[in-house]
Amino acid sequence: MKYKYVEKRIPRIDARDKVTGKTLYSTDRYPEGMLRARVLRSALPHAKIIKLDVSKARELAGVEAVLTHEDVPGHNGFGIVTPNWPVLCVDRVKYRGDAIALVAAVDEETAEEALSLIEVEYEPLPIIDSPEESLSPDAPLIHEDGNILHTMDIPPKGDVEKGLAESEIVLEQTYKTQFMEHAYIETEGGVGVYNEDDGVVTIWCGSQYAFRDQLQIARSLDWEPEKIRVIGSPTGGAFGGKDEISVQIHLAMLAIYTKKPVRLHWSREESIVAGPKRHAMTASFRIGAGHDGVFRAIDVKVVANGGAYDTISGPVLNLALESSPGPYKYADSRFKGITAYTNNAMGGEFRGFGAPQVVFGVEQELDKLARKLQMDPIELRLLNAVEEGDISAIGHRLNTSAGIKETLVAAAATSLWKDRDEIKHKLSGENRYREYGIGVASEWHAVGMGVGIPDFSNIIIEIGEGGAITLRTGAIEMGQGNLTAYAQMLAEVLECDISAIDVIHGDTTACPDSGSVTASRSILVNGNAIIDGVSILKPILIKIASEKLGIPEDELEYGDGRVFSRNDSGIALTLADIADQAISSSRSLKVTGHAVIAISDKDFGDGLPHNYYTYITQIALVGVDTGTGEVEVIKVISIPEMGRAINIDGVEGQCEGSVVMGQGYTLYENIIVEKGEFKTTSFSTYILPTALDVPEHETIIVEKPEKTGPFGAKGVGEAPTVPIIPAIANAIYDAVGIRLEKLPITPEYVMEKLREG
Amino acid sequence: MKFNYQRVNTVSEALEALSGNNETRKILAGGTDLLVMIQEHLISPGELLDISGIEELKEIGEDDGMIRLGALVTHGRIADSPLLREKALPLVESCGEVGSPQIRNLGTIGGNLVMASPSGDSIPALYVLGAEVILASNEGERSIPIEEFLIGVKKSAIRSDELLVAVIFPGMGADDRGFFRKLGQRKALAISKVSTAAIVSLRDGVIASARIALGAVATTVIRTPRTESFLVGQPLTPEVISEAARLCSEESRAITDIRSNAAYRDEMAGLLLSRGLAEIAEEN
Repeated sequence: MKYKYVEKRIPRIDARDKVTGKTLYSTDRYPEGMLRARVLRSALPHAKIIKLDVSKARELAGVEAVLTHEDVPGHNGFGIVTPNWPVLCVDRVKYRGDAIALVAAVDEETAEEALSLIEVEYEPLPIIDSPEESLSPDAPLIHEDGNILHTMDIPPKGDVEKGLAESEIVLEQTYKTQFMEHAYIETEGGVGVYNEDDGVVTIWCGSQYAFRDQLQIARSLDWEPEKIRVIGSPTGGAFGGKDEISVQIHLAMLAIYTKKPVRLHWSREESIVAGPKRHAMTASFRIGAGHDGVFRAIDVKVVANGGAYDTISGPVLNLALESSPGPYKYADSRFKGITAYTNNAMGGEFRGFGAPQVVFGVEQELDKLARKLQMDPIELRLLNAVEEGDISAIGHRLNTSAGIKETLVAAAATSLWKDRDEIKHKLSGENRYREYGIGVASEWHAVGMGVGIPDFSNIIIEIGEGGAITLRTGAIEMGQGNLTAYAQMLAEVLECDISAIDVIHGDTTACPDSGSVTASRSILVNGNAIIDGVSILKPILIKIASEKLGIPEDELEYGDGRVFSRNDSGIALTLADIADQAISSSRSLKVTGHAVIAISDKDFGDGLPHNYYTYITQIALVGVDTGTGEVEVIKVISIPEMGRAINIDGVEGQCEGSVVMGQGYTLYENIIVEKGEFKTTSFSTYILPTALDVPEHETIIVEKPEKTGPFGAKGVGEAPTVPIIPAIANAIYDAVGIRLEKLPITPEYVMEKLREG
Repeated sequence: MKFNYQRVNTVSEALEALSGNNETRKILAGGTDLLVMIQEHLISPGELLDISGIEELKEIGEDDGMIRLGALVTHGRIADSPLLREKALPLVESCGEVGSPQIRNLGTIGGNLVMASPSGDSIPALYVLGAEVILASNEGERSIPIEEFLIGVKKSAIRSDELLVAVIFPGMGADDRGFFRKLGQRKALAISKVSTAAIVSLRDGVIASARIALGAVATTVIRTPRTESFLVGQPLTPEVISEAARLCSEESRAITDIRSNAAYRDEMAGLLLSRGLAEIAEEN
């Protein structure tokens, strides 16, 4: 089937306004008379609060509000899963980012001075940095009900001990990963405005789910959600880090208290210290296989550092376990995980959602196995790869399109892979200090929320005067290009010009609830909701056209953006004509489309398993300086299978951004926290890749349309962040023969490994 | 934050302003370090004296073999200067690796010196060039060898009434070969984990003199006297280079911090020296 808009390169509908600076992000708003807010954060990683005295701060000229836990009217906590993260701490602080008091003042300087006038007396408590310390029997309790945040055991498949005992080859290794920062260009921030006339508080803030923010604010204010409007889009980068509450409740409290507009915009340091990070994890693998290369058994244990509060640590651990075997068949499997509370950085949601931490290890193990068997690593993966209809390693049937084999076949056909020896040899001749290597890795990445977690979307399509088309979605535009993809899909099914479509997004008053923009889900679920909406709209258009034309409905047809007579296609009404007819008869052309993401026939609890996956293979070429240990990623090829590419530019953009993010995680980025104290609180110590560091990149799109996806699409927002990590590690092995068991792979670590030999 | 701001357009105006005792005054040149420190609340100056408009401090000159760089010459101009490429290659190479194009376009050589960071990239190059720092005050000018000017981490010998006006050094001669190399955590916007600058004088294939300086491996940039004296009188053979690297690593006195560890830095100080010397040996 040939499409007009789908599967094309369509310029982003928001590009012009963003490039010309016309787009207003939440933190670009400066309403008149706006106050500046600041948050007093804990001075210690773990302590009792003995005394909290804000009287001097309240007396400072220019200060309009100093609020504490006493001013939280409703539930003093937030959290996507378990709301145990305090809005403002009462008598205990559990990490350096904990909020104790809020200040609103006429300017930043006064607000800051007010913070310094707040007196807090602490009684220090023992600091727990790691899950191992946290889970030791004599560990002090961080939460009254214990230090275990979450545990997950996926029901075992077969008998893993027997499977390993019977395997001709057994590999065993433990891998460690670090905390990672989202590092959005726009740090958490926004503006709150309280309107005394209608009693509505409006919060503009970078978000991933304005409707959940609204409910979390309502719970803490003890207000009706209808009195709270959240405008959460556009967002200046989110990557999972803005799904949770940051400034929203604080802004609402201050705006209502002062009855003035209030602005709160976290500094970079505050964003690093207070906001959630990618969890640091330890993942242990035992993998059994035969001499023929057939995988038999996999045993995985994951321990995660959850930080001080819950947020969404449980589902992250669950997805780490689900992702850990990869898109391969195993007869026997066992997956166990535990997340512990600590006083270290906060573990939270981050693009990849637990997968990077485990795929880093497991795909190196497969590389080891291929070398042991003297098999091509792509051949080994192909031999064990799943297909649609197969039973996965975690024991569920794969009911949706599964194109991992196609990505592997495409990888094997690239020049970078086919001619790899020649390429490495040629490069070696050009640089005497370096050895070159090429590595490959694959992943399956879940799309959607999983079994038992609400996973729906509502969208509204309205055709107004002159045929102007409005699409309303609660979904957030956070840089990924989904508004354009929605417009493409709507234009395709409505057979209209894409330029006639205006997308209104991320506003709890102006839009319906489309669910969270997470879990690589928004193309799949919103696309289906759009298709559903148009299927409701078309008969209405025909009905109204029938009245106007005086032709029976069954003689009319919809096509090419108009309703026409089957008998004489010259007799037709455009969308503008039909809209005018509807308006003149006081009717609206407004429909709500709805979709729910289909679920697996298994239910392992807590959202497992998933029903849709992006499949991806990535290849990396690296140069390793054997004297300094420096690794340069020279070229990367990403080969995603996302069902259908809605916008080819969009898929490539997601792949490129993901690869840079994955490269940063692999080689440079590290949130260092020792005894609860952050050592990397700026971008001069938290090392992101620069333009000079990033590789040449190529995307090869593999399409395997999924019958239940819009135009066959699934999603692609997260997967390309993941296999790049072990692909780089495998390429380093290929270059210099060392295996890397922890991240980031610094030159110091490479040299240590090279010395070990 | 609040501070008084004063802009001066000549050295004499600057010196007049500096003569009044004011412990909380800071001098603003390129601002690439100072403004970051103010923003991060590491310092809170009561007064900023902006010297960035003083044209007489922006000159690159040569007089009778001596090079004179005004304090406000930027890293970018040094990196692009054909004269300095010929007469001060280690300095050109180091300034070309400072920060990013934006920082190189604003940051000044004088600023890099008075910040006195052991990882300041221009400093090892100025050590091996044998530079002197010219300090001016209302009492007149004085000149201090760079190794005496820098006395500790972020500490220099400048008095609060003084302005660093220039740095001078003899241009490299026909027999001199030099280089600067650094390792950072990434390719740009990278603070040096370790850096090595060297100038050797080669006559008839033998080293007549050697000057080596290491950055980011001690409280100030340091010289490596044992390595230097070992090299004098030796030809640049692989064996000599390897021994020089070993000695250089021994003389490095690095510490462990969040950027790197001591053992790695010490080893790399020698490695960077050996790579630089090996390339000089090949070119001759």
